[in-house]
Amino acid sequence: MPDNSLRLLISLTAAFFFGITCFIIYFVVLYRNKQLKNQQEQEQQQSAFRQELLKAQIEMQEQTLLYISREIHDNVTQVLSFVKLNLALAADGSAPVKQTKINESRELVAQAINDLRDLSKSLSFEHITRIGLLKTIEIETGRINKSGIIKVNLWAEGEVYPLGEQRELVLYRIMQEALNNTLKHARARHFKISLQYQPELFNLTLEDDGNGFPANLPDKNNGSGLKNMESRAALIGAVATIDSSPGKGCCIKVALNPLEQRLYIDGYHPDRLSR
Amino acid sequence: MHLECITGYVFYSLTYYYLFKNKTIKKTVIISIVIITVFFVINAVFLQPFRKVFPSNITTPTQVLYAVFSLLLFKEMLLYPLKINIIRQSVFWYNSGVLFYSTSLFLIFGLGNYIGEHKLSPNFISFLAYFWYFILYVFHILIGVSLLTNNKEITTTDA
Repeated sequence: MPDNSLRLLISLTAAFFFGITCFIIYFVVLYRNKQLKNQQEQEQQQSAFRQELLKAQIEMQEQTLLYISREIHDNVTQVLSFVKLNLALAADGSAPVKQTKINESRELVAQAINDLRDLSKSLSFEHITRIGLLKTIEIETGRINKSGIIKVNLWAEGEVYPLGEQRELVLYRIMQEALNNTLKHARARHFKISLQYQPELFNLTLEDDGNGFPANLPDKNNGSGLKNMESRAALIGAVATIDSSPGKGCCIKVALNPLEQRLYIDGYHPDRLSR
Repeated sequence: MHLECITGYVFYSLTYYYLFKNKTIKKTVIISIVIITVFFVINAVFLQPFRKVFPSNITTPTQVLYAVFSLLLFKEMLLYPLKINIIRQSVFWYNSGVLFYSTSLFLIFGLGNYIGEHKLSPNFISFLAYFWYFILYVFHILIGVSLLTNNKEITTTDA
């Protein structure tokens, strides 16, 4: 009996140690697998973010080039052609006519220089790095207002702080996309851009007084552009909400916590185009 | 023994309170400290008098709670894994130590009861005593390893 009891005792103890050792080994293996899975997910997020950022940069470049080509064709070329015509007329005219034509030409050349200077300022993705989001939007607002297509109001509240180059670039791209949509589809007369800088919250609100659209907009009718805005906002840790109904314009709100850090956003970005 | 039991419980529970991230579990830990302390007073005065009877009414539930906390912390570690190798995490060694100690105590209690009821020879009691020492050594070695592991590195990675 004592022998049996002793055997039972030793078996129980051994079984206990075996059990607890197995549990700890199982936990270590499980933990390691979870670590690998997390690492893979993070790499995927990082890769998606890089791709999306690059896409946004290329889109901004395309838009800038389109704008530059349109400006050169519609504005600078016309002004310079007029100068050429003026100078040709001055060649055959009397001295006072010559002087008038030269003065007119000088003014037109000055206007062309100004236009070219404005054009050089519209290389926005570089501007964001140098002068920040607010100033870049200010320049864009000035440009649009000057064209007279739509009246853009910019409103900023709170103490301005930098949100980081990549975040600002994505936010700027969202603003540009919203403005493009308004110009193309909304037939709006006013476009309002609001930037609210609070210590733990940044809000970008983009509103127009155009046609608006139903909430369940199909993808082919600009719905993919709206989804793009939402997914891009999510990539930088922001939340984009789009509110619109027919006849009531559109309001896009992007809320971002500037203190929330995302490992794949911060720091030097290998794909960045500026600097 | 009564005092050792309650101070030990408060100390280990507070350690777990700081280790847990889940707010509900944190609250539960605090509530358990209050309940166990109240029960300790009742037990020491009415049920198992101070300095006279071994406080098994307190020891048993506290060991169960240690094991539960330890398993919950393992679960939480799996939910929020750190980048650092688990072997280099002091929490892992500490938690393993507590789990090993708390579950071993059940075995000790069970075996003690078995030996008592069957009135087995003193050899068995010696075996149990050696086993108890062994558990204590292992537990303290695991706690020592957890203290020697680089905690600073874990904190910065976590942040």
